[in-house]
Amino acid sequence: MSDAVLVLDRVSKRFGTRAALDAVTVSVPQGTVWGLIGPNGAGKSTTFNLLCGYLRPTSGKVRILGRDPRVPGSLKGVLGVLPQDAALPGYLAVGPLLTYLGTLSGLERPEREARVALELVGLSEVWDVPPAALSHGMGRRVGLAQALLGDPPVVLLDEPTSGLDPRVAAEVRGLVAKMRGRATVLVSSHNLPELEALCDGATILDHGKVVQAGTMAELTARSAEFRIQVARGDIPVEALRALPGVAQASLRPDGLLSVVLDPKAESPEAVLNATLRLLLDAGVQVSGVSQGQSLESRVLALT
Amino acid sequence: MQTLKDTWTIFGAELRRALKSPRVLLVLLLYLAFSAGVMLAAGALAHQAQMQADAQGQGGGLESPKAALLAMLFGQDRSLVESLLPLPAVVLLVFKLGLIFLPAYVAVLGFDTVSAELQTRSLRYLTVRTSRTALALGKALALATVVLLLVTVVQLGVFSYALSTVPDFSTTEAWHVWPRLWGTTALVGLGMAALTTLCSTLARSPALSLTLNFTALLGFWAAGAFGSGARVMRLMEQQATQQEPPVGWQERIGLLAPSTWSAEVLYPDTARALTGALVLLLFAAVCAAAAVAVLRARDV
Repeated sequence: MSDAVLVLDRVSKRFGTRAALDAVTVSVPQGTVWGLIGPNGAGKSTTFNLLCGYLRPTSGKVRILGRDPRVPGSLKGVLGVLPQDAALPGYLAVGPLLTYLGTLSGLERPEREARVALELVGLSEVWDVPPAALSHGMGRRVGLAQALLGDPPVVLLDEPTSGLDPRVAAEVRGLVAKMRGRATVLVSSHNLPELEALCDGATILDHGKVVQAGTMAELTARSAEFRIQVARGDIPVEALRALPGVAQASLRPDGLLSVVLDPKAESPEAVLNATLRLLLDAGVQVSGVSQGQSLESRVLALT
Repeated sequence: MQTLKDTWTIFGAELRRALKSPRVLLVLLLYLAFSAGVMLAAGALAHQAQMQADAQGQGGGLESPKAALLAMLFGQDRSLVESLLPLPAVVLLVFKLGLIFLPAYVAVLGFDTVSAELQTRSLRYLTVRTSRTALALGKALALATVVLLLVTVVQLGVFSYALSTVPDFSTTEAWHVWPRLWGTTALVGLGMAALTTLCSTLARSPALSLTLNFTALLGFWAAGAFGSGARVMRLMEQQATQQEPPVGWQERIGLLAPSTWSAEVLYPDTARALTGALVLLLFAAVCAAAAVAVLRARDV
């Protein structure tokens, strides 16, 4: 992609004899919220750490806005990062710490930006509190505040909602969603429904390799199949298979009807409507409809 | 330019952090208590030696017990002993023993300056915002400044004590000798601050960093002792044979130790003193450059 902001080009990273990443290529388009998905040990954190310049790739090229993260000072003011397992520096209270980090980011009014960032995550009251005195959830929110300091054009968030209560997690998701278009955001999470709702696209890693990457519609095959949960009634499966645009229809014993679309079908929505009409005319009672597979099913099938 | 600006910012933050740290206060108290102990012991020894010298009708020359003590502490060079002889023994003893223990104080003060942040990974919040060069230099400079403050406080205390207890020691003399003693300690302190920062960048664990640091100090101490022993043997051979034997490799090993060069800074010969000072500065610069190189190359 020509407008890719985050790029890993055939990047490998070895730790001794163990390959954490093997010729991984990732490309995140500008202004999108992109997910990084995979089971434990898939290479998500290594990918994050390479993008942040914490690690040096064994081979391949890493670029953020065309800059090499390992070049000293190249990420100043460009990148906001919420690392997953890094403790906040404990030698300053939250407010002075964010001001200090803002100064190092080259912000013109670091203290003001620090107050704005803390307000954004709803923690203005912890300005004078040492990071060690914060709860895990509050610490994550302060971590998020430092990542958002000065509104950087690229933001990397590793497990941003981990350990947060549902209300705060929803607020954080809202914050990330608002960044769409303004910033390019890479989010890593094990919470796949969260990523499915939040992201424009994702890269799925397993055992240090990319197993699939694309937009969320492509990953979940939203325009390739749909599922109908049948509550009651006899399903005319043969009639369904004969409908224009339907390539395959199958019924599971639990009443889940899966319809795969013909790739040549002009409008998936028209096929869905025709299918529903046929079922309702046959007296079938429908309790739910979903397009494509869930991201979770897709990831479970791939990894 | 940006690196300089960031180095200044990091230096300020690290210095404030260090000055608030109870550890600095503890090390200062230890240093002061140690110096006070040395002062008391040296005072008693000097008094006894003076009484002995008076009884034997010896003056304050090169044959005096004080000169023998100085020769033992600073080497057998007559010109050096002669130049130090007018100074109070207590000042010289505290200075010399302070130089021996200063590296350990610096190691205790700064072993975790980088390694603790590598262990908790809090350094990651900084490396995306500034260059690692600025980080290493800012931290090393803050540590060096704390060491210089510590040394200054202790030396002021010792000089005040000497001025109030040694009748022949005047303020003019104190002002004359203090810059050289302070400068020597400061140069050694700078070098040790840079060495401690280097060890701290090498290890992800503070315990390992401290071990590395003390291993390096032990190595320098061994090199210094080896070289100094070889020098004494050479001088004894020279006295016995009335011929000047060549300087052997054993003595040259001593050149690897900063303590060898800190002794040089005290020489009345300006060229020799300047060479010692330059070598100590070079040692500090090499250690600081190595700390920068290690931090830039390593994974955080």
